[in-house]
Amino acid sequence: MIDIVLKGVSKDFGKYLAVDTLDLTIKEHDFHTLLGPSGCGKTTTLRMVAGLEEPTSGDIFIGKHAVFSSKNLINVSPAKRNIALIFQDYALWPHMTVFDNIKFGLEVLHIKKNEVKRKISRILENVHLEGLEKRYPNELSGGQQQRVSMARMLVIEPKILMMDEPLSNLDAKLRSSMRSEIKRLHNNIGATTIYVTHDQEEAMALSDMITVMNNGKVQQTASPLELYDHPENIFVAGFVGNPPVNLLNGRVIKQGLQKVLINSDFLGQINIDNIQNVTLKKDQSVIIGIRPEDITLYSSNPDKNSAEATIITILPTGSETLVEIKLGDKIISAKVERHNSYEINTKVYLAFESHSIHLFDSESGRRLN
Amino acid sequence: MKRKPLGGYLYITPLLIGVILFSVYPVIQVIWMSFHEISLADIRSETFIGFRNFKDIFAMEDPPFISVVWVTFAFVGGSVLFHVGAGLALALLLNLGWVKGKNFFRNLYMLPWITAGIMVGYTWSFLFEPRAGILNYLMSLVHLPSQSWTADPKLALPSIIIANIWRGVPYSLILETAGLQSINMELYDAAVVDGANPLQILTRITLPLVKEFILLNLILDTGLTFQVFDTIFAMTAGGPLHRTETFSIFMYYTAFKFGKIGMGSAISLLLLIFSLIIAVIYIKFFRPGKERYA
Repeated sequence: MIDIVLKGVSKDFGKYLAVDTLDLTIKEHDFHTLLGPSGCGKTTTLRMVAGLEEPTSGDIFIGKHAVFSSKNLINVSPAKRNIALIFQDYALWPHMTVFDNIKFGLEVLHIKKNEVKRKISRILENVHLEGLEKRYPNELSGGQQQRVSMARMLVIEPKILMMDEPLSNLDAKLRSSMRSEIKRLHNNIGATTIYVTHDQEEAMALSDMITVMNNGKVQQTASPLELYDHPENIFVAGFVGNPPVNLLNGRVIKQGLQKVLINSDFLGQINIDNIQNVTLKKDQSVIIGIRPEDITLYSSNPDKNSAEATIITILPTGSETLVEIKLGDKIISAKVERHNSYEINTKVYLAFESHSIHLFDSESGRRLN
Repeated sequence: MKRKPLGGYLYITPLLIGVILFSVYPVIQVIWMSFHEISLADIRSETFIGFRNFKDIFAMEDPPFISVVWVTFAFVGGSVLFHVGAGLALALLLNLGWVKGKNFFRNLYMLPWITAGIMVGYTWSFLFEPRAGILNYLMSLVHLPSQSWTADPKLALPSIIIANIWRGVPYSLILETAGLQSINMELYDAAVVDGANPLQILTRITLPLVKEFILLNLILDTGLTFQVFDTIFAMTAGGPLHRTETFSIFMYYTAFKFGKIGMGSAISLLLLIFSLIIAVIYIKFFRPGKERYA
């Protein structure tokens, strides 16, 4: 197995701690995404695995071999790690033609001339760039430049592909078509892919596994759906999902066997099952998260306990409609059917299943159920 | 849709006046004066004499015109070669990631450039001074014979070239540093990941990407070096035996010592033409490609 393993990896830039004792395992053949807001350390982590940045401490293994170890003074050069990298700005050499850009890596590897030609023409076909060999990067569109950088990455047949926000400079339409192309590519060549993005939708769509990072720390590593269904803390719950999860304050009334009764702001008393093995004090403050799609709206009160709210905005997207409602002094959102008869400033009643609630400790931010 | 361009012209008028007053008019005036006999003693009398000024320059024997051309080209060639070479080398060195105190050195290296040329000339005169100068003292330490440097017909030209190299390197350093810093760091990362060694990165990535800065540097530095007057004047004043008499010194003597303003203008015009020819050669040689740095 050629897993990529990071053990206790830290990186500081002077006083600023970019990555804080990070432990991470990336399985062979996985499409593994590092997801997080800007400045969370995801790009630094990628660059450390690539060998472009030297960790301050820790160990990095690719397969059985340590490629970096601060204790054993190992630091394998990027070229020997058998990786290839795509950069956000593509990093195409502007003074070289498309052909020369792709050729560079092969030349450095001392591959024979006719072999080089064959490889390049095959790779250009793969990324649909036939006939553009003689163009300079500035004569290509953003999408074409992206394809060139992909061709350049793939032509050296690396075991590990790394992509640092490769789609963020493209327009929305191109982005979604390149997205599926990247996924196809990953499946076809069966390499291990490490992908960095701040776009949670992109991460969800592409990944086998996602590691959410914030402030240089891993928040959670899980499959996309696991991440969405069971966010381990408030940060992950808030970061993953669009529109974001609704968060409301609440207090513990009493804890039973694996369940708890809480009093929520504006929603009244809620009974939550499947509480983890924690002891909650009476009156302890908690945070209740409900995804917009887990909320059902009624125009008349379905039962007398339902909370009452006022519609303030209706945002149709075509496939569905998002409704923003005012609940007490909070504004929360709910997803409803695309054909509906809601109107602004009318009263609605909220309903939800208690098992769809994500309960968090408001102090530590940890998940409780 | 057509709009009257009047407003546009109005906005560039102040600049246009400046350019006409300080660039276009003097050039035209120099050309006009080149074809006239004007004497410093009687500056109001201007007699049209056709190409006679040029004929006189080419036929001159003291100094011979060919000597002035040779001295000028040796001075400019030697200076520019080392300015750009050393400037680029220093810029590359100060652009390396692991070098400490970059800003300190970049500022320190600026000192020669912000020193007045005449001060540079006098300072180097002291260094080259045959009896009290530090250079001959250093030579004596390694048992080499003393030299009279600026007074020696063979060593005078190299001496002023060395002084001028010392003064001009910072200018290239700034230009080349600007060029190097315009290169996106990811372009290096991409080459490193591909397995390129430092030499390959330098020759295949860095140098091609600063090519246009090197070209600009060569053109500007050649133009500036053609005009150097103060340093040479302070060190040798063109001597000994006209061995350091460049176009600018020659022009000064002709126009202001011998009072032949018309002929001095003709020399300036020749200098301008030489500079233009060299700039064109540089541009042809570097053949800026199709590529642009997007």
